[in-house]
This record gives sequence, C-alpha cells and structure tokens, in this order.
Amino acid sequence: MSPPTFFFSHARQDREMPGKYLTRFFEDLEKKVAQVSGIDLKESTLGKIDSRIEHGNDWDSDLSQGVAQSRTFLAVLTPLYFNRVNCGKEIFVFIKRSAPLQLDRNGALVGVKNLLPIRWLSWEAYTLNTVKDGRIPAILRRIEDVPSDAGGDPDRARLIEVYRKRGLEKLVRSGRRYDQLLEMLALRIRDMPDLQPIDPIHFADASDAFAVDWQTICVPQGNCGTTGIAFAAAAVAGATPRVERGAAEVLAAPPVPSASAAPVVPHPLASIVAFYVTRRSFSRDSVPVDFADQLIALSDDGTARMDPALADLIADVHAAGAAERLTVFHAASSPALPDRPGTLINRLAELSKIGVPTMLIVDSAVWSARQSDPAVATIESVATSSAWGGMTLVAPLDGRAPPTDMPAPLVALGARLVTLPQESGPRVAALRTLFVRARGQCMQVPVEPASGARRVPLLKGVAEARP
Amino acid sequence: MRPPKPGRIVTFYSYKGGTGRSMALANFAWLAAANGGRVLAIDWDLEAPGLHRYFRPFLVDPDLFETDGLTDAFWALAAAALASQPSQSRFPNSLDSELIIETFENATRQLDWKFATGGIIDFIGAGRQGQTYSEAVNTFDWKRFYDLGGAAILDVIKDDLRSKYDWILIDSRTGVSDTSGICTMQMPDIVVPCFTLNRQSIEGVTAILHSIREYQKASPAGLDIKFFPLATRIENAEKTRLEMARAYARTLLAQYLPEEFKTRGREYWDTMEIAYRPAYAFEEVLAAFGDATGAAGSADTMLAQGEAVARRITGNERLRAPEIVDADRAAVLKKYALGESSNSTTCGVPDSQDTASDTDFLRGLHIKEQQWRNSGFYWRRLLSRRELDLLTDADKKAFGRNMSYYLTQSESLYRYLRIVSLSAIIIAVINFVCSVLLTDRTIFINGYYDSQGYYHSYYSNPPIVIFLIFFMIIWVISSWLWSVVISRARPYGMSPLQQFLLVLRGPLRSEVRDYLPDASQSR
Repeated sequence: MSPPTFFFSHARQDREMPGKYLTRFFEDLEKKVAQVSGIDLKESTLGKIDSRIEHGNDWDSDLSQGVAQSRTFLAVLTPLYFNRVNCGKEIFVFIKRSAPLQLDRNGALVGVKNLLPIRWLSWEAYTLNTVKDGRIPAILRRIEDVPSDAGGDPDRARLIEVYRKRGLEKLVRSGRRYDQLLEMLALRIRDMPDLQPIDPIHFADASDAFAVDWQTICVPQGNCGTTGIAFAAAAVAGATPRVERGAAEVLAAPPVPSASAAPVVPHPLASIVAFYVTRRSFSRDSVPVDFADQLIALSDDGTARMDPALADLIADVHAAGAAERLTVFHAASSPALPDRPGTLINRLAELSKIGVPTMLIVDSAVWSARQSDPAVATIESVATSSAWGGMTLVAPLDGRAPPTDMPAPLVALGARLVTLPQESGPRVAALRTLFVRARGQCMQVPVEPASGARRVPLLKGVAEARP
Repeated sequence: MRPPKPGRIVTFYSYKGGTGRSMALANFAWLAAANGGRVLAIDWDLEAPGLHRYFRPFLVDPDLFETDGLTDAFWALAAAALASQPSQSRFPNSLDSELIIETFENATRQLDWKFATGGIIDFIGAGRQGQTYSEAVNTFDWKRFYDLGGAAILDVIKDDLRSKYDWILIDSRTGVSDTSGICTMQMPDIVVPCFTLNRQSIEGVTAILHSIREYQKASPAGLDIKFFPLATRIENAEKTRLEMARAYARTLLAQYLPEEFKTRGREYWDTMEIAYRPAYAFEEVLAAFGDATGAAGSADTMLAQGEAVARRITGNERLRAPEIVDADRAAVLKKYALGESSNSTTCGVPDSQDTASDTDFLRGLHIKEQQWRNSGFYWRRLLSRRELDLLTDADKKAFGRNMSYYLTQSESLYRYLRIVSLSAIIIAVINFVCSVLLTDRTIFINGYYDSQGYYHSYYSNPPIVIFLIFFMIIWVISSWLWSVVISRARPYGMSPLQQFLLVLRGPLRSEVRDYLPDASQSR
C-alpha cells in the first residue's frame, strides 16, 4: 500500500488574512498522519500544499503531480475557494481520477472517491440568502462534509456538531477538541482506499470544475438516495419541488431547500439586510420570504442574468458583511424601483424594530431621470423617513460620476446618506465601517430591561471621593 | 480533566496606564501554569489591547488579525440576548447556557508551550484587529448589554470558567470606565491593583478600592473580593522620596490588605514590589525567558520578584519558576525579537523539520550540562567523542558561558584519554623491559648455570609467573606516577583516584558511547 499522501487544496486569502491558521493546520495534520501511519517525515513528505503559486500560470509540475498521484484530496472550502480557477482545476483533475462519474438530478456528482472537504469557516459563511450551505456548488453536494461518522459515541457526535457549526479555523490550537479532530482526520486519511494515479495534467489542459458543464462528462442518473451526511442544501431526491423548465435546464437548476433544512432568517445584530434600488436587471430568488418583497437570486444560474456592475456591487456588499461575520441578505422591493414608499418603509421599519441592521443601497443611475420619474420621489421619502432611521448608500456604478445635485431633503440627511467609492477595495472598506456603525445603532433599539436586570457597576474615582 | 477546586478569577487593574499591569498578569499566568495550573488569560482592555504581545511566540496569529476575541464574543452574546427578548417572537430560547459558553469558547485559543507539569494557558484576545476594530469596540453599549440581561450572562460565564480553569486572569481597562467597573466588581474574586509610587496613582487606587468595598457592602449576594495591592516600576533612585512614597502608599492601603496581613504589613510589602527594569520597559517579554533561572544573582531578577508575587497571590509557598533549557530559551527570545509566531507543536523549534533533530540534539546537550552541574561535576557526565564531533563551530560559538565551560571540560577529557591511551603503550613497553630485567636479576639470584651452560632454577615456579608479578607491580606504580604527572590535563571533577584507575585500565577502556545520558552511571 502506498503511503497516505494527501493534496491540500485551498484558496489563497487576501492580504488582510494571510492564512496563518491554515498553514498551521496543514503542518499539524501532516505530523498527525505521519504519526498514525508510522512514517518518518524526515524521509518523505505526505502533504502537498500550494504556498507559492500566485495565479496558476506556473502550475508547478510538483503540484500537478501531487493532484494526479496523491491518495487523498483535501479541499479547504471557503466562499473564495469556489471562485478560484486554480482550485477548480485542481478539483477537476482529481475528480477525473474517480471516473466513471454520474450526475444526479440536482447536479451533484455521485461516485467521487477520496475527496475530503474541510469546513473552514462557520456555517454562516456558506449560506446564500436563506439557503444554508447554498454557496457550496452543486457538484460537491453529495460529498460527505464530516471527517467520519460519530459511530454512536456522543462525545464524537458533539465534536462533529461543533465542527460543522464553527468551522475548523476557530478550532485550530484551541485545545482538546482540535487534537481529537486532527486525529479523526488523520485516521480517515490513513485509511483511505488506494486510488488509481494518472499522468500529471498540465494547467492549461485542465478545466475549471466549477465552470465546466458536467452534463457532457457524466451520465445523468435516475433516483439515487442520499448517502451519509452531506451538505444541508442537497435535496432529497424525489421530494424536491422544482421549477419546471426545459429538459436541458432541469439538471442545472439550483436545488430548492428540502423541508429538513430550515431557512436562514435575519438575526438581530448578526445580519444585514440590504435593499437595492436599481433599474438594472437581476433575477428573483425562488424562495419567498416574509421580511422583503423579494430576494435577489445569487446562485450561479441567477447571476448569469444579472447586470455585471450590479453583480460586482453585490459581491462587495457580501464580502464586507462576511468580513464582519454578518449574514447578508440581498433584498429588493417588487418592483425594484418602487412606485409607492409605504411598503418599503414598513419592511425597513419592521426589521429595525427587531434590531436587524438595514441599509438602502441606491444605484446612482436612478437619478439620471430625476425630473420625470416618480420612483425617485419615492426613494427620497424612504430615505428621509423617520420611521426607519437607517442609512442610505448611493452607489455609483459603471464608472459614472456620483450625482452632484442631490435634492435638498437628501442632503439634509447628513450622516444618514453616504456615497460609496467606485473601486472595489475602498468600497468594501467603506461598507465594513458602515455595517459596524449600523449594528451599533441597532443596539440602541428600545427594549424593556429584562426582569432582574442589574445595572452596570461603575467605579468611583478620586473625584468622587471628595465630599 | 477538571480541577477539583473551583477556579479563582483575578483581575489586574491599575488607575493609570503604564504601570506594568499586563506584564504582571502575563508573568503570573506563566508561573501558575508552570506549576501545574490551568490558566485562562483574558485581555479586557479593549481600547488598548496589549496582553497578546507577551504571548507572541506561542500564538499562531500573534497580531490577532485572524482571531476572534472578546469584542466579537460580546457582540454575539448581545445578538443572542436581543433575539431572546420577549418582544421578539421569532427566536425563542435563543439564549441558553450552552450558547453562551460556546460563544466564549469560540474566542479562546491555547498557547503553544508544553509545560512539564501539564499546566496550560488559554488566551482570549481583545478582538479581531483590523480596520473596524475601533468602531466595533466603541459602538458596543455596555449599559444596553446589561439591560438585555448581561449580568446574568456574565454569571453563567463565570461559573463555567471557574469549573474549567484554576486561574482566570483578567487584564482590566484603566481608570473609571464601564468595562473597568465590570472587571473589578462584577467578575473577580481577587483584585490586584497595580500602582506606581506617585501620589496620583496611589490616591487613585485607594479611591477605587474604597469604591469596590462600597459596592461589596451594597450587593445582596455577599460578594467577597480580596485585594492584593502591587507596587510596580520602583526605581532605586531618590531614596528619601521613594521612602516617603512607600510610606504614604502603605498607610493609605493598610486597610485594604488581605485579612492575614493587616497586622503584618511589612511582611506583605517586602514581597509585593516589582522594580523598574529598563530591559523590560522597552520590550514585551515574559520574565521566564528574559531572565535565566538559576543564573548567578537570580534573586534580584524580574522573574524572582514575579515568583514572590505569585506565591503571595496563589498562597502556594512551593511555587517556583521552572528551569528552561538554554536552547529553548534562545529560540523563544529569537521569536520575540523577530515577531515570528510559533509554527510547530513542540516548544522552541523555530525552523523546518530538517533542524528538528539538531535542536533535539542540542537540547540533549543542555540537559547533560545541567546534570553535570547538579551531580557535582561527575566526569562521566561529560560528552562523548561522537557528540563532540557532531557539534559545529557555529553551535559552539552560540553557546553561553556554562555550556562553553562544559565543552572545554569534555574536550579536555578526551585529550586526557588520548594521552592515557598513547602513554599506555609506552608504559607497557617499559614495564615489559623492566620486568624482564628484574626477572632476569632474580634469575641470577635464584638459580645457577651448570657446567654445560643450562640454567637451573631453585624455584619450581616458572620465571613467567615472576615476570607477571613484577609486571603488575611496576604497572601499578608507573600508572600512579604517570597519573600524577598528567594530572594537570584532567577535566574538572575527576578525583586523583579516578585518574589513577583510568590510567590503570589504559587500553581496556571502551571508546564509543551513545550521546544520551548514561543512566547506569549513577553517582
């Protein structure tokens, strides 16, 4: 039996998060696998990690060999991972080793061997609007997301629960739980069955697993039951209501959450609901919600029909929210450019009342037709409404200059009206500060003091000691 | 592994900043863990977080850019508290003990150092450092948090922490802020107020202690908070002023000392002072690494004073700083200097796996050196030939004084043994010749030649026996003489008798020894 080698696939984070925990996890895991397999790391390495490659243009022969010949593939899943071409190619080459593959009705791959996904972040990072694990691409939904099953051990079951909820990043070097989890993973890697290696494939010849059309590669499969524990959004076959479309589109339709996966809802102080006001095109999310008229569809299928500038803005808003560990909901009124302010104001006020930070994000192109459009007047009344009290953000898109002649009532809003920068980087930074500020405002939501609530103890300094 | 006694929560507080409060806490945490305690250190100074800097070599993320901390935990708790308000219908029962405990665990990381006693240090940072940290801290309304039931949440946290740790140490904000009130009145069992010897600081601390006492009396729960005032940054200049300040402090604080010391103030204050040391003022380093244990003059170090303070607060008279092997100490000091983080599960290994075995080897050497010193310089504890050969010049240059001395003695041992081996041959030859001659002489006395020239001995023993007897005697005498002659070359710790025995054994001595300490060679 060949040594238990593993390929460590991850997305390089941006500058602010240099990934120290990731590197540390990799080293600890390699040591643990060596320990449980009785292998001396001084003689051979077991893990392959990409710590050098910037953009995949020089996909090292070492790495491509690693993917083609390692026994296990460890995919550290983060939202960034699914957007990286590198990672897509690595997964593609590895999945091909498990041929023949099948695709089930919901677009999940069946029969993938030796792939071990790691939940790096907490569960909120993987939600898509209201769908838990919605960000996990369809192809991966059937793959077990836990190191192993609990085997009836309550301690283990608890550990797995904590791991799925918190993500591994929070557990690295946190004590006993981390050691246990490492051991579980190491044993799983050691006990992985052998997988047929293939010849290394050059970077240019590999396709991006997240972008390629798997229908052409796999044979669609009929009824197949779910196997083991997999990602929450994997719909149970046969129990899924699907939007009826053409046959070719059926397989590509995003899965609707099954009855067992409870929808994610906005949580006071821990979520942001952003209402977009724009003329640009987007598609509606298929899940109805009670806190907004409609949610903007963010799945792959939905963004295909979205205006690219709007898509960039939404991506920035989401990134800012994720950086502050807030779940972001991208909502709009119906129609997106409301003709009457009442409903929208009610929605915003409702959310604010329960303490959910809300924002109104207005596409600055809306002001191009100010004179004639009644919608513009609606926006003004929403933004200046006292029932709501939140911030309005003006987003110049498509390289337009921000509007210079804002109507007087909007200008009088002062800090409640903010113009966002055009570039993505400064925009995310500005959004982050605004989100935190909004959250702080929401903490001031009037509450009745809880029964038996005490007062903050205050120290008395020297000044108060004087009579 | 639960501690049998409930843990105690100790808040380190100071009225003004810059009193060395964080350093006192960090050193206390280290000593408590080194003596077997399970310690949790919490940085509650959210506006100016600094505790994490003392633990840099032991944190995966020493700058806390990627690590959630107290601020993040409290925002999560506030969210849960708000969601569980009776006016919120959507999230009933969202605030239970499990969630509170888990939220706190989310912010906890363990320091990367193996204490021989099994103690550990867990650490909760002030919060994730980044562009929005300041905003997040300043928008958190503590009064509102209390309105939402924050006090009950903190009680749950206290009980849980007390069951998991022996010592929970809180680094409090200075002055009279709401968080400093929470840290000194809501949370602790013990408060250690740190003050410098100037009027502002002393009076400030006295007022605060008075305020805490008032709160204690007014609270229904019968709070019992003990005080251990700690005088810091004491400079031995301006003697008269210093004495006046000391006297002033002792007078004002006399009533706040722990019960058992109210009449023994002098005894208390003798051990609860920390001197100003410039080296520590410039850099955040733990005293356990900044000072060498067992070094000459070690009674007057930061570490020694830290030990005294820890003994006083824990009440454990047997508390001692552990001896840290020089190699580990050097490695950690290097990490402090370079701002590197620990990237390995074993202590003190800064480089990749290639040098892991080298560092193990070096650590083994340091352990041997310590054993040599502790055994009264027994010469068998010196290094073997093989170990000496494995040492590079760079290693030798990097060693400190003790280790260098140990090396020179090891080298002199081998020089000595070489002389002995060479001279053994010469002695053997000389002995042989002498013995032959002497035996021959005795032959002349003890026998006769007959007319044909044959020799007849008076004795029945063959001359070979006589030869051997002479050989032995001369061998012993010459060995002794030779050992006296080369006694200058012997290594430190070898007595004349041992020298003599070595020379006597001569070529029958085994050359090769393993570099692990020879367990069978006990003194």
